Amino acid sequence: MKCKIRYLFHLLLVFLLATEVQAQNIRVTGKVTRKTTGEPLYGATVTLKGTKQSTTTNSTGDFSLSVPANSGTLVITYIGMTTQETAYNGAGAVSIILEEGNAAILNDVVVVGYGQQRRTAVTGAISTVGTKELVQSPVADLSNALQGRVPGIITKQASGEPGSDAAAIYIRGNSTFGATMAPLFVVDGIVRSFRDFSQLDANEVESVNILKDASSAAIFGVKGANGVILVTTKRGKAGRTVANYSFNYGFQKVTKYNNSVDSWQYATLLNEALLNDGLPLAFTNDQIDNFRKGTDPIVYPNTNWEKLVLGGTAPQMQHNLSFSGGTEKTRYFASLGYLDQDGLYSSLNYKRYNVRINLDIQATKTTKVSVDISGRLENKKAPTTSISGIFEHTLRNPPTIPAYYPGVGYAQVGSYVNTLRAVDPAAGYDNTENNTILTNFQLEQQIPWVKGLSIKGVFAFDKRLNYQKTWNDNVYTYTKNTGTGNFDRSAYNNPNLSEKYYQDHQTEMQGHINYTNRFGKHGISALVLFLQQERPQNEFGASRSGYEFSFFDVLDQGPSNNAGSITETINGKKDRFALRSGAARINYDYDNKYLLQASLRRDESEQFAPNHRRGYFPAFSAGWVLSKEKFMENTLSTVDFLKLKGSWGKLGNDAATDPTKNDNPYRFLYLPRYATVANDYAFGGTIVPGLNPVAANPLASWEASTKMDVGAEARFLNGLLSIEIDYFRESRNQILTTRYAQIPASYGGPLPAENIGKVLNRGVELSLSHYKTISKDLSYSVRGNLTIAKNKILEAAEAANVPAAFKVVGRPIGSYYGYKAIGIIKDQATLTSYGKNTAFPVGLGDIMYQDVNKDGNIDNADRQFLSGGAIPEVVFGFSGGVNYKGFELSFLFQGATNTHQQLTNNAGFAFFNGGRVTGEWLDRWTPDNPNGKYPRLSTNATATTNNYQVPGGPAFGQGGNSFWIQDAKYLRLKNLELAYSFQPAILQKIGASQLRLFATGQNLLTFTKIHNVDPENTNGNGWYYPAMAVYNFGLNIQF
Amino acid sequence: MITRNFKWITGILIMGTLIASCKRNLLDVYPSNSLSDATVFTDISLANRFLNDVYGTLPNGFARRDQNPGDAGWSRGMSAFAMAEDDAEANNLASSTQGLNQGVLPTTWAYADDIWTQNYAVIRKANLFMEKIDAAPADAAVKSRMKAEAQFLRAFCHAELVKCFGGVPLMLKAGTPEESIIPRNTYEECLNQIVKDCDEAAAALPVAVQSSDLGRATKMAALALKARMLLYYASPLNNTANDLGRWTNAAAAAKAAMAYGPPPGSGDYGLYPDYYRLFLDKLGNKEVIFARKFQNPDIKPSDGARNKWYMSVPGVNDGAWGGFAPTQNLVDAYEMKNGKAISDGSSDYDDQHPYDNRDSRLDKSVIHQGTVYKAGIVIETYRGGNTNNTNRLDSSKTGYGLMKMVDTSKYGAAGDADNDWIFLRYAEVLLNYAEAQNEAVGPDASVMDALNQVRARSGQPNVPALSQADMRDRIRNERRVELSFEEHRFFDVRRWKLGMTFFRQPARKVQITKNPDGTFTYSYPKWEDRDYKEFQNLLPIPQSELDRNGKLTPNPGYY
Repeated sequence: MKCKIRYLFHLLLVFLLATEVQAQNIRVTGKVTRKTTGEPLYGATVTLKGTKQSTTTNSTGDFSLSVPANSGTLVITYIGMTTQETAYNGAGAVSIILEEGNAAILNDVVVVGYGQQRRTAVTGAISTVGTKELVQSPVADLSNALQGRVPGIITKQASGEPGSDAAAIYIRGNSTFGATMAPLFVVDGIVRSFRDFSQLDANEVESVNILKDASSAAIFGVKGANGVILVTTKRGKAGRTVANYSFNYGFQKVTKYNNSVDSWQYATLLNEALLNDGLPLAFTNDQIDNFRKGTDPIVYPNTNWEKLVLGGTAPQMQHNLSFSGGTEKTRYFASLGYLDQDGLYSSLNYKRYNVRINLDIQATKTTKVSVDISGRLENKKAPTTSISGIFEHTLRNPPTIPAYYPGVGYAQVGSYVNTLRAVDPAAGYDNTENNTILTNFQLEQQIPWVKGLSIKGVFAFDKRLNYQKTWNDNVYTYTKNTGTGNFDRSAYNNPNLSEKYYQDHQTEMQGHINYTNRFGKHGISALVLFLQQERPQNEFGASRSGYEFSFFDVLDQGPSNNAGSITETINGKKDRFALRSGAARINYDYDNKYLLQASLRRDESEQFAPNHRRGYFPAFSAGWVLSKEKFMENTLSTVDFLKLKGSWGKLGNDAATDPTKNDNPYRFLYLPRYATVANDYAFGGTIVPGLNPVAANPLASWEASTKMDVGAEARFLNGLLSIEIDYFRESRNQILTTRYAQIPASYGGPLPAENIGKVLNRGVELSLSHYKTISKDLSYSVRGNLTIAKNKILEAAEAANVPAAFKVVGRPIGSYYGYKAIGIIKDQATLTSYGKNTAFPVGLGDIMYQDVNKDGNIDNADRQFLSGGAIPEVVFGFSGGVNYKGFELSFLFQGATNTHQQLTNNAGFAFFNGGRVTGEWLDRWTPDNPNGKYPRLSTNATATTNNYQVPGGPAFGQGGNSFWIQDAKYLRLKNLELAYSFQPAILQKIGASQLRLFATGQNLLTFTKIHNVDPENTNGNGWYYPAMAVYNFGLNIQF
Repeated sequence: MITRNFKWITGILIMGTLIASCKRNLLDVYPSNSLSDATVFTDISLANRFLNDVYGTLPNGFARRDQNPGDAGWSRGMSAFAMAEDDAEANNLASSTQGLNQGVLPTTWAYADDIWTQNYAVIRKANLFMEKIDAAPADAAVKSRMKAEAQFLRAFCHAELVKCFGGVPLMLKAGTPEESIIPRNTYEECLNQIVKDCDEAAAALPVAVQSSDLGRATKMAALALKARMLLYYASPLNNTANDLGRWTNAAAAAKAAMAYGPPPGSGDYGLYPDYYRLFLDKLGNKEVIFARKFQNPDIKPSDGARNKWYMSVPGVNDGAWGGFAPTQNLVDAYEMKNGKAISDGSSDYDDQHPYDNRDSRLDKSVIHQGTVYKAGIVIETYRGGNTNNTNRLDSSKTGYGLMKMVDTSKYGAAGDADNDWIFLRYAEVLLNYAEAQNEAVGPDASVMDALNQVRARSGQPNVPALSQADMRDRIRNERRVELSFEEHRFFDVRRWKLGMTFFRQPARKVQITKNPDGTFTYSYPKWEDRDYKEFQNLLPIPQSELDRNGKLTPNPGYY
């Protein structure tokens, strides 16, 4: 214990007091590039030979080193490159080009679960996104920076709302319908939450490794079936202190507005719809003329609600300051980040502070101590109206109603919700503070008398404290009284307040035994691991309503009695999660040519019954480096490297979710019990509690996944061209799902989830890259990747008598089912020849449906599979860049196909729920426009009319008709960057080692056929904050 | 050397500590929000909580769903069966009740699915309770009463199903999932079981309960339910041979319940003096026999949905949707104060002053032009008036709004209204008796007396002597008016097999024009055409249930 404290003092001293006192030194600067590509090398170590003075290169490959003598030799090392020595003479710039040797390539390492491996020895499927690409995307949420960069990752960004704009990540597509497909997130060796990953400051991150196949992820056992995302943060290197400051400032803007119509068009179209419905018209011709003239904006407005709420631009700003350096004994990386992102309305803002210190202490020659401490403060300010509420009504409100009466206030017309008022800061706030501290202490001890043997203890403690405060305040609205001509003010809306605290702490302990050694041509490394994890959590909240006035947003100041409309609530909850695991892994290679890996993990999860808790997850993989074979020698001039690999393994997924409870994780599924219901019924005016039986399945277990992968990696022509290709196949069994589709509702009880479902998911990944250096000043690169992942359901507890065309078995997860539209009845002749009996009246201008069983009726038996769902089966990315002197231009296109979206509500239907009509309806069927693309107008956009019917779908797909299902394929210019790095000669004058200016853009161009919703979104009603285009400028300076 | 050894020994020690500190009970986690099966029925107060939950699951008219299948939740409570009748119109034309009143009734109709699922959920809980309560340590009398409450609830929910679908699978025990794959029982079997459950429950339950227990099943509730179901059994839809014995049984059952009515009955039940307050007042309200209870702040109709029924009234800006619009057809059914129908030439009805001198129940049920609303707001339903801004799609379709069951004193915060949904009330018992007795023996004095009791409460004069057929029409109209919006007419018209008569008539509205001199001109144009098909007398067995249970036969006419 004593020594631990001493280390702590040591590191504190080093950190606080270490300043560099330099004698009369000169400064040598230079640039390190990769020979084959001309790419600048980031993180190369430059050491003055014979001393401990060293530095590392920055992201443009530049370095600056203070040296005491006028001449000497620099030693430049970089992982994967041949170490090079370069002499210098006097101050000034040197240029160093490093070369990849076969030996050097062999030493390039990649982070894997609980360890690292030489990249050439990897037999699994792992993709890496480096810090440069992560920083390049001007996005607040790291999950949006992975898109399109590497194969095997499919993302869907559900919202662009600051602070809530994360993308859902699907590694190699979707393999389950019973549980989340969210991968496991591991930050510096500890399993952490998605948000711990996505809210990292990209400047802190060294690399993100995506473990896609069984052999790489199986070490995570019951948590690993969805793939694993490993984040490695930056660490200090021995040498001079490097200070880095980066700054970004940008504007966000809506990528695309909906198709809108003017108020006179709306009035005209509404009259047409009412006429079609045989209902009285809503507007007279005079009124329509007045709308068209627009001279009386109070009575005859032309309101574009979407632009009122979302118009303009919102700024975002990001600062990051980091220091790194240290000595052979103690190395550190410290970073401080700040993000401030505004929303498109003023009541929306997100601020984030990230701080990190990573320390490495070589306590003795054989003992290494690492201490990582990082913290994150998030502060989100939002309106009290939910996002879905704001957008539901923004998209519903017709253009014929005013948003405000000048000089009076917000207009209230009928029951239309004035969303401009809803986003007014005066209407209150919904503030969320998330405070997170993540710590990680490691002690690694080499065992001196056994070469290659070491032990490691890891202790991680994370603490989260979240606080939410919601204050709903009064903002008056006004209604124009047609009788008096006055503006009647709304009643005072008594404010209400709620506050909620949440906290959890996660403790994880790991013990590792590592052994790595070579015996001649035989290389062996082995790992034995024990871990246990525990996460108790609790929350507490209180609320009061009926505040008399708006002065105090304090709970103490609210009325404390429960009477009439005044309520107060207090609530609290607790829970605990736990996991105990052990794992072993062994790697063997013969001459780095034949590679083998085997691993086994044992897990115990508290999610399941004591006798069904334990699971074993094995994996095997093998690789063959053909390029090392004698018979390949002749081709070595063209083939630099060629490896074949294959893997097989079993993994689990215990993150099953309960579709009847907002997809919350299943808890205690095995335990027969009765849930308490606090306020269940009222007898004689007294509210009494209840107990509600809960369905249990004592046999419940995790989803079992069996994965297989075969692939090849190759590099040709001295690195000019690299190819990686993988075929993968996963069968996911024991998917937890209920038998609601098989058991009659007359059973009357809830049904427990059972391990029933089966899904097969297969696909191919391909990535290609090409670099070329044309001259010392000019180089370029292009890269492309493609992922195809197709799944099909093999078992889903369907009802027995479901017609084949309507079965989910054999079809992809999340597919659309319903009636297939085959055209619009354009004239009487078409109507006659259509001649079907339909449940709903059909006439001219209506949609015709396919009669699957040809019985002359359009009925339930004619429902069929229509198309795949919203998660794309094919995604691709295409990126490139050109470097010329100090200039860099790079781009990333990203896209997806085989993806569909069903438009619903006001995103698709005309006049839905008394709402707006969108512009594409201008091309509708009318007697004069019989070939219109859209059916005849009606105010009756309901499930019980022919054109909008949404029959009850099967358990795994939405019902609908294919007319509203649109192809959501898209191609997007995700990222574009133009940057300039100043030359060392100029930098010297300001004492900097690097200065880079850049302009970046995100989501700048989108090519898609789908309208009114973003193609990346999974929500067909448009009730979300849209994805943003970002125009960003910034600089990066390093000393 | 010693130092170096010391350090790695420290390392091993730390590792050892880590491993040794493994909690033995790390994985033993128990829920903090539920109790195990074994615990609940070893303690009578916990068992009682389970019984509370059986009541808490009762579906009711304030929580009917009115939206697309699969689009659950947000629009609950926006409509009742009334909107699928000739008495009202759904403001939300996207509603599935709107489809139904247009004669469109697919097997995927959301209502049918909800009614099926929700009632069987109560039935299973009641069965579970009845099976397990015997084991609980408590006084036998207490257990017998609790068991009888569960038995009544089972009968009540079976009855709800039978009203909608005809014969359904009877669920008399909490069996396994597979045991629910059974064919439908006949109407007769269902009825006999309901009657049996009612009889057994009635034997074990008190006639009435003290005010702190209001809401619990009583002997009176069991008797009234039995009387209702026997009336359904005797009705033309289910009694095609017109077996008079069934009417006799129905009349006798209603008579048995009337024994607890006003003297010469026991006086435990009776009519509440004020027809409007009847639906709002809870204490001392002897008319209520069985109701779904609500209580502020925590037991309210789901989603605070009732505010959506209210008419959107200016100056009362709280998001009322005016979701519910009574039709002119219903308004015309109210008699004049003098007891004459408005179609009667001698009734003194003036169609330019249509609301003058009408049955007082009109004002207490329907908001119309000139209604003085809360805080003196005068409702204007004329074109351009304060509640009839025609530029909006959400103003009342018919020129009428809902007054009955709307607590205007709580209107300012509409979601706070907590009046109960009344399932069974004494006036229905009287009307059930009058109808059954008129069919069984003709319009005798007891028929007229029962009818007149109901009329007298609202100030309507006694009915004159009538033929059996005229009395039948009179009773039917009385039911329509007295029980409006209470989910009766939807079933009454069906069991009378009069859907083709009433439900195909166009729905009419009032159209009022304000003249320059301040007077009004009234007209009553068609609002929309309605349609109905004879087979719709029974609702469709839900498609999803047909898919799940191959032994079910669909109701005829549906495909």
